[in-house]
Amino acid sequence: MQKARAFFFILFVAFLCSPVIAQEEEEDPDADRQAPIYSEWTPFLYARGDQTINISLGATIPMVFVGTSGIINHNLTLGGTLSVAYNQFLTPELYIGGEVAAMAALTKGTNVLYIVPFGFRVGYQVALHRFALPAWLRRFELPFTLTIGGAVQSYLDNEENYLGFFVKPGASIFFRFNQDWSFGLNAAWWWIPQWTEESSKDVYGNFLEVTVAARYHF
Amino acid sequence: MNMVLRKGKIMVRRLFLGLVLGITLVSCKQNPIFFSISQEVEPRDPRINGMPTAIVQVGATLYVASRFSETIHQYGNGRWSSIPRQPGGKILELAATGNHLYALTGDPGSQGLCKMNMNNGGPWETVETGNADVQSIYGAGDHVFAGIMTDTGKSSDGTSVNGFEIWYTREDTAALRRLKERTTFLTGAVYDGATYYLAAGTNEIDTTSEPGGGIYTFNGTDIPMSPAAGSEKLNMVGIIMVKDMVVGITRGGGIVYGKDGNFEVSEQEITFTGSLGLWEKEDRHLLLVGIQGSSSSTVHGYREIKLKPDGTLDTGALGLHIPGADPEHSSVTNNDKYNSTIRRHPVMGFLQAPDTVLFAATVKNGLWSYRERDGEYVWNAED
Repeated sequence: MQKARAFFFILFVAFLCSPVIAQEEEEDPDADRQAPIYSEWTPFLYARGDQTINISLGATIPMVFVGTSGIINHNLTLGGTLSVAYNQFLTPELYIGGEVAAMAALTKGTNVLYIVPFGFRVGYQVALHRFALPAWLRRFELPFTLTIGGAVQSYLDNEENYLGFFVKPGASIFFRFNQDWSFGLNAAWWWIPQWTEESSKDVYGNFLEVTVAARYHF
Repeated sequence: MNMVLRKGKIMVRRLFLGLVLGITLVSCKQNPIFFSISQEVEPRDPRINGMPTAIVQVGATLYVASRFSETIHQYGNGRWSSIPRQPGGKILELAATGNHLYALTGDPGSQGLCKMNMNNGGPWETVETGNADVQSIYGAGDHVFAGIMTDTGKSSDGTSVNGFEIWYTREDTAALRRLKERTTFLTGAVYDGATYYLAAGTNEIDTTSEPGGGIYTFNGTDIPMSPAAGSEKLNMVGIIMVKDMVVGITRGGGIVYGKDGNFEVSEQEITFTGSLGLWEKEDRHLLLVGIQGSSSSTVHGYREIKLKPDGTLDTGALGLHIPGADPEHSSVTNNDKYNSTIRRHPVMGFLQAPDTVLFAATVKNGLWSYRERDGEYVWNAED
């Protein structure tokens, strides 16, 4: 259990730090004077320093919950979620940022589980305008994101609380509506481990998030 | 510019590492929420919903009703049914003596009291109340005691406020008669075979209700003007007989116990609802005590006081135990199931049926029971 925790800790730190370090190593003092990456200008070209704010609204589906004795009954229903994220592009594809969200789900016993995740995020976006596709398809963008941070969890009207790890890999598809806005769909996996004083009550919770999203570009 | 960016990145990285480290450190030793939720059971629709009356017993049969409903339910031989003859009108409260079931009926402010001999199945007989405003009834021995609200109280500034009196009736009489004026709210009554013990709460508004709450003794003909020694001024909310020992509880966590009119108090840091019940299985005996959290809390349920193997109170061990913490000597076998079920509700009454099923009247979620459901013993609404 301790080993697993240490392993995940090192894995997450290494994963998040690697793109930042890589970016530093690739820095070119003449970068600002380089020619655009793409020979053909498009209205939706990304550049270093571009920023977006994402607002997402949708549902969380409780998936597999794993306890020390195997898969357990999660006893949760479909939940609702709202999130806000900020991204800044380091390259035309790579971005970092932060995210805060909130979700609520009813339990089998008609109680409510609240989770408020927050964390840093790193992502890589594939913009289809690079490819020789029909014009309408070239307006789609496919960001892949990993959020790592914490999640405040509350149950029984704050009688039971937990603050723990939160990891959320996700993929999205956005349609670039205009220079300022794009709209799309997100799918993400929430991994929420709960390590407790009694190891027999440790549970690894997993949710699937499906949301609709709007991105403001500036 | 590059220097600023580099410093910014270092700061962000340190912030992230600090966040990860901080979360790692605090992740352990917190509430196992997912595990707790996995222990939840699906609530059932209670047969007796809302706020049940007291659960009372005549012979081997239990009787209970949902307050403001018009149906008294009976439980015997493991089955529920409505009693063949209902008293008519809304049921406000039930009480029982050795042979009779008493029902307080009507609407608040216009109550009526009636009784039925359960040995011959009726009919219901009216008990004259003299238009007294009957607030509570409790059976003990062959007596039923009633808490009466009056408008004779006086507050400290002289304005009229509600006052309280204790009245009583017997199985062989057909009217309530006044037993004691200027008392406080009646919250329970028991009989030890020789003396009746009447629990009364304090009344912080009515300054004429001297000497306040406590446990009054009544020998069948006379009642002293003062509560029994050791119980003076106590805000009693419940009382029960544990073998030959009278045991009462105060709102603020006091356990009052004694014999022959002399009482001692053991203080606990907890709030009691007033419900008391006895539970037994083989040579294991428990006194169950309902507890209440704060108004915004969902931690209620009850606590257990372990009794001696002969069912008597061990006055040297009045500790309150969490149900299921010691599964070998508890009313439940699984503390996690207890936490996710009846712990969420204040319990206003307990009674273990002759078939050993334990019933609990919750404050607003109906009648619950601890029995086998879907292969495991759990608390849930009795359906």
